[in-house]
Amino acid sequence: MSMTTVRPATAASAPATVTRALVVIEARRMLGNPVPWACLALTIWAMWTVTPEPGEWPGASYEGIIPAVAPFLFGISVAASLPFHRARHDVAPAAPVSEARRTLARLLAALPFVVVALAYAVLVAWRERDLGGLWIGMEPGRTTEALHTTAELAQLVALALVAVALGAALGRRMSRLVALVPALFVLWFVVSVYWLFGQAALTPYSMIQVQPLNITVGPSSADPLSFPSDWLLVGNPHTSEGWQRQWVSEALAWWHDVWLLGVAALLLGVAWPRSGRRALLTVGTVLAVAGLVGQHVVIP
Amino acid sequence: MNTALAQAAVPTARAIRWTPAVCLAGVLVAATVLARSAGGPADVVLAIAAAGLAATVVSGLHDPAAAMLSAVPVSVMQRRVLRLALLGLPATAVWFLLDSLTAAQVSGPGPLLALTACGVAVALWAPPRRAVVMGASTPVALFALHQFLPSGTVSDVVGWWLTEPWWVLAAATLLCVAGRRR
Amino acid sequence: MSTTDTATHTPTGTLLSAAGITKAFGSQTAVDQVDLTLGRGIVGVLGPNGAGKTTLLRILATVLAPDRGTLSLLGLDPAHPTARTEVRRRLGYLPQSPRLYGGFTPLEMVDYVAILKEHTDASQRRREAVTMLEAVGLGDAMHKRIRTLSGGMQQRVALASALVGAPDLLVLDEPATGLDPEQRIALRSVLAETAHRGCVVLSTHNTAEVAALCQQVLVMDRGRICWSGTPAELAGEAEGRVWESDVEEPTALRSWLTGPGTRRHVGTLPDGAAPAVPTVDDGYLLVTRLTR
Repeated sequence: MSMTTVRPATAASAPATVTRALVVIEARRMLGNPVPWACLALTIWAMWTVTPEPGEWPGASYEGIIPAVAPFLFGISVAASLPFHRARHDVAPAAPVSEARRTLARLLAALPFVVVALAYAVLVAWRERDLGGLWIGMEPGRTTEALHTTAELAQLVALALVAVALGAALGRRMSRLVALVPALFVLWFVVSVYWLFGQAALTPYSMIQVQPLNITVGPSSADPLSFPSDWLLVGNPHTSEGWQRQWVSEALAWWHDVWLLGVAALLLGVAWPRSGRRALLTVGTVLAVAGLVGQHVVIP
Repeated sequence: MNTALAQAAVPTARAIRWTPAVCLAGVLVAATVLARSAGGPADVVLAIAAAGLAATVVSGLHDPAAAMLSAVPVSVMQRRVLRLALLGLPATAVWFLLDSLTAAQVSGPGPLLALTACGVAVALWAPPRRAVVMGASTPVALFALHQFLPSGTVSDVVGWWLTEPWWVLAAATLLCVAGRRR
Repeated sequence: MSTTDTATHTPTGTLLSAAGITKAFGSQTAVDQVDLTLGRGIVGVLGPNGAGKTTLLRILATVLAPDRGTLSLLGLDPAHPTARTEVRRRLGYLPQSPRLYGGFTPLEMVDYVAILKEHTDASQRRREAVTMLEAVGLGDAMHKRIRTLSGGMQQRVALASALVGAPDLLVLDEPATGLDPEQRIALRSVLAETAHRGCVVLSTHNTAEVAALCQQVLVMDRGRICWSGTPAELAGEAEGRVWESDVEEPTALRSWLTGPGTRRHVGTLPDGAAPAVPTVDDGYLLVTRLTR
């Protein structure tokens, strides 16, 4: 057997080329995984079937659209976890491409999912307009033309980043791939039960934040016409705690997005190799704390 | 043989990775406590718990030393049953704990057992290389399809694990028995 | 048919026989019409990668059922569940790249395998586990976590697990992988001892191992046993058909560079060339080339 070897000429001088090659390989494998696409189909279906109906809980359609993204987030996390789990076994540990660059390549390879999440957010916005808007509140404080704000839709993109980071963190740290399925399922589907975080004190900590928030503004005996006319209201028979204001806040949603970015950075810090981990954890902590404080300040 | 299985219980329990299962149970308990304090309908939380716990139990079938143990007289099916029992009993206990924390309409461990049996049946009949992953994904897939498919015949059939759990359990158990030599 | 010597409980006669066993995975036939009759002793299975060695060994270890053909192990038909369980009570199996529980100690691992081999007397089982671990040179490491051991030590834990229970039939898939020369010599002693009472079938790529250890050699290629005999007979196949020179020989079936820079060839000896002393390597290379 005879072999002819060729020494790579440009590898050392073109790290970007090497990273790009790694990204292409990882992306091809990740995007070829059927799980996120099947989950995306389920998500689109679930979103599409949300339509305002007479007699619904005021705001039910508005609340129902955002959590429909949970299956897609689960799918993203599953797909992202696989290359990171593979990385638990050293492959060519003495090769000149550092582990940090390999990790970066894996993360960049997952970015198409974030782009898909952006496209999904656009689809949601289009669908809401196609429906003529969603319903929030009851007479006399009611609208039938509610649309999710940009900040609320941006949450879908931020959540996709969290999904990638969560998959990366669990994939890197869990020793058995099969244990990822129940872990990711429970995490994403529990947080999709948005009313668990419905209390004002818990809302800032939610992953999938669903507005409007319901804030008690008066007893059931109160005259709803005495409230400011721009308030969206809900009361008897839908509540037992008197009149509540259904409060939608773009500022709250933006701060929540900051919190999600912080969580994503913290999770990435868990998946990242030792060098650079501290920076990610620091950035993540700052963003997460800022997001939490911002939300607490905004919530009345 | 039964003595061997009984003696194998403790080392098998040690070979199982409990940390993910314990963390998952913790998340579920926290979610149930939140549901209780929020006063919302906890049925969906219990259904998530049933699917998550079932997936965890089925994932316990993964045995890293399976190749090493493939030619021992205690058969692979007996070893699987042992693993299922070791994981299934605490999972059922956790489910009852969650059930007791809520006032949900879904009562009894039927859905948990039905989903577990479905997962085990898939794990037995699926191609060996991905058997356990596919088995563990089955409860998750059944939950998600039931949750998101529009109501109709398909949705009703997919949701039998919730509405007719004991029949599903019986059918899946029959499949498991039929696949016991696989 | 296997019988058992009642005085020593040592099985005699044919311990393993196979007739026409075939196993396919989809369109790929991994084992094709293999016939075998083996008694006591050590049998080495040689062959290139993908020849079907591992599949054959998995069939002999009752892990895989053949698609066709008849198999008798220790006088029993493993196709029947009861007989298969009985065979497994007297069988040791070391798979290729065995994985173990990293959180266990070697003693716990071997003890666990012994339990699954239905050794229910705890103290006797423990003693045997210790004996096996000492036999493979892990007496000092038996209380360390397996995940902290080197690859060679982990391989020896797996080997001790296969040896536990004094099996009459020992099936080992590349048992010397990861072992240093000293450990290889220790392995030979352990296997020779087992071969006194039963049959050891091992696959390997190491012809020197076969020459040193095995009484019989099977050479597999493309799912078939293309040659069988003793190691000396395998080397003898190349008698008068191996030579060395400084240049390429286009007529040689195989040529390769040797350490000092000369070329060694197998094939038809050219006129004027002086034949070299054949080795098992030469015989193996010649046999696998001639059968293609």
